[in-house]
Amino acid sequence: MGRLSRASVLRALDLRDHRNNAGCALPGAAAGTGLDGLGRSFPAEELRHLEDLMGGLPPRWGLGAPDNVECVGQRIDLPEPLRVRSLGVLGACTGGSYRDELLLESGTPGIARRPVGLGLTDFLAATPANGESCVAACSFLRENGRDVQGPVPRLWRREVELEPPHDTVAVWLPVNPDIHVFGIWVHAEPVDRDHAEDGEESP
Amino acid sequence: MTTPKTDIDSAPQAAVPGAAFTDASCYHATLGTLLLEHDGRAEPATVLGNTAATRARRTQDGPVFGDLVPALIDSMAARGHRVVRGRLADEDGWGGLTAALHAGDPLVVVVDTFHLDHYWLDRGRVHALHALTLRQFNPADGTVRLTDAVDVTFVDNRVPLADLEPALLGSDIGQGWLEVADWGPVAGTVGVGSPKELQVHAAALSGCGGEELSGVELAAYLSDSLDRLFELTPRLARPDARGGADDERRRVTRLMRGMWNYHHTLRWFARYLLALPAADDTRPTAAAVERASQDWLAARSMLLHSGLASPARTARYRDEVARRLGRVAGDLQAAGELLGGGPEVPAWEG
Repeated sequence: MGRLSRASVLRALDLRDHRNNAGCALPGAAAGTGLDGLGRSFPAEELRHLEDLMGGLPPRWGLGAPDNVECVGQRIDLPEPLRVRSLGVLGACTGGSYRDELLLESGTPGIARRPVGLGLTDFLAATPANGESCVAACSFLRENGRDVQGPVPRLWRREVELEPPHDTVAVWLPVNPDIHVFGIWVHAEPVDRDHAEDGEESP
Repeated sequence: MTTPKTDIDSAPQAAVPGAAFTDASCYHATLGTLLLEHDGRAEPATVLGNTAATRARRTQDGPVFGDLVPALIDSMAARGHRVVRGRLADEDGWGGLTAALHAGDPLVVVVDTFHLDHYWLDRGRVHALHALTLRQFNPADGTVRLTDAVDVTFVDNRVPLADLEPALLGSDIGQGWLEVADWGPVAGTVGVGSPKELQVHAAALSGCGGEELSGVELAAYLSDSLDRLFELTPRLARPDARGGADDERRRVTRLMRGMWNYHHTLRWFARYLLALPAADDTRPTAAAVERASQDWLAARSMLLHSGLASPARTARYRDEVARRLGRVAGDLQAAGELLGGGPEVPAWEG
């Protein structure tokens, strides 16, 4: 019988210090090189409803400020050590669809980072490449401030169950600038350090 | 404002109804569509994934990749599907294509994207070849079912054949068509993945000393050329000031296209391994090949991104490309040994 008293909860990770790319633009706003380096972006006004999955809308949303994390090997700290049971990502790729890896760091010396598969589909693809859910299919593409009818930019949601759960202090993103993360969340409970190796279950 | 569709809590599904078969590679997408049109029970991976060849050779100017289409035609032929190729620049090329459509044959047409209405990526901006499927031609109204099964430009609808004439005939950059002149058996996997077939694939992955580079050799060759590659690829991020006359720009463009095609070759080869009758045995090999295909794509991406990145970021990419290519070599070596039954794999003579 499990001894842990605190139940697992869903927690969005704080990406504020890691966002480094503007991939969403409001009408008339300059999004710089956009999501793909070619000036292509999501119409920001069609993605506001995903605020919760993003852990809150970034400041100056859609006005050219960074709104997603272009993956270059960032370390994202969890608010406290957590026993992670599942991990979810909101995002999309450019230049193709990918299956790459996140790494979970346990904070315990001598324990290697645990790889977790991260499959995300191209933001312009019509179908999911890795079984993701499509959470937003926009009406058009915004390209260097111009609305292009026909292409349908999409955001994808991917969730991975961890079996067994993994005690984690940080998540490392891959070095892969074609992967863009708009939100990360974990289903986890605080690590009971007294019984950290017992693998207790929630009641 | 249109409210976007949301699907937050439902099971994964195709984002576009009818887009049941799409792919990121236009030749895999079109030939796969032909296979499925011919027999809905077909598993395209047993045909189009039946090659692991790099089609790359070592030259004084670095690795040079061959065309993907002959490899796929060979893969079709290996299953008894004889594909013939027509060129619109040939005398009566247009007559040959329309005759095939009138005969009711589904075709792959290779068109100029500059004139292709639905191809928003290049339309009116870039001349490039792209493969589409044409089928179910109706002589009464001159319309044909056009399918673009590439995931980022997907369409599937009827259009007047005349609307495609600019993309087929409005320029001369190598437009043409492919048709299957003879079909072999499609459904089933009898003979697929024979020991001889797997030996050929093992050599393509990890052999050494052949005229064509194996995957392991290619990864090592690129690793040894990284300084030069990181000098060359930023050219693609700058405007083409010499209007196509820059040899090094053309060379790196071809290199990036070759790397793109080899990614798809490996990706489809992993699918082939999972479609074999003894897929449980080949699952670890498929996993290694799939990871190599993804590392390969990521390495290509970082080469392309280096043109826009800061020096510090470029240095990071260089380290990561080296790491990924090292892992590609290791994964393909392991895959070759698993398929070939051991480390002594003969050089491929293909």
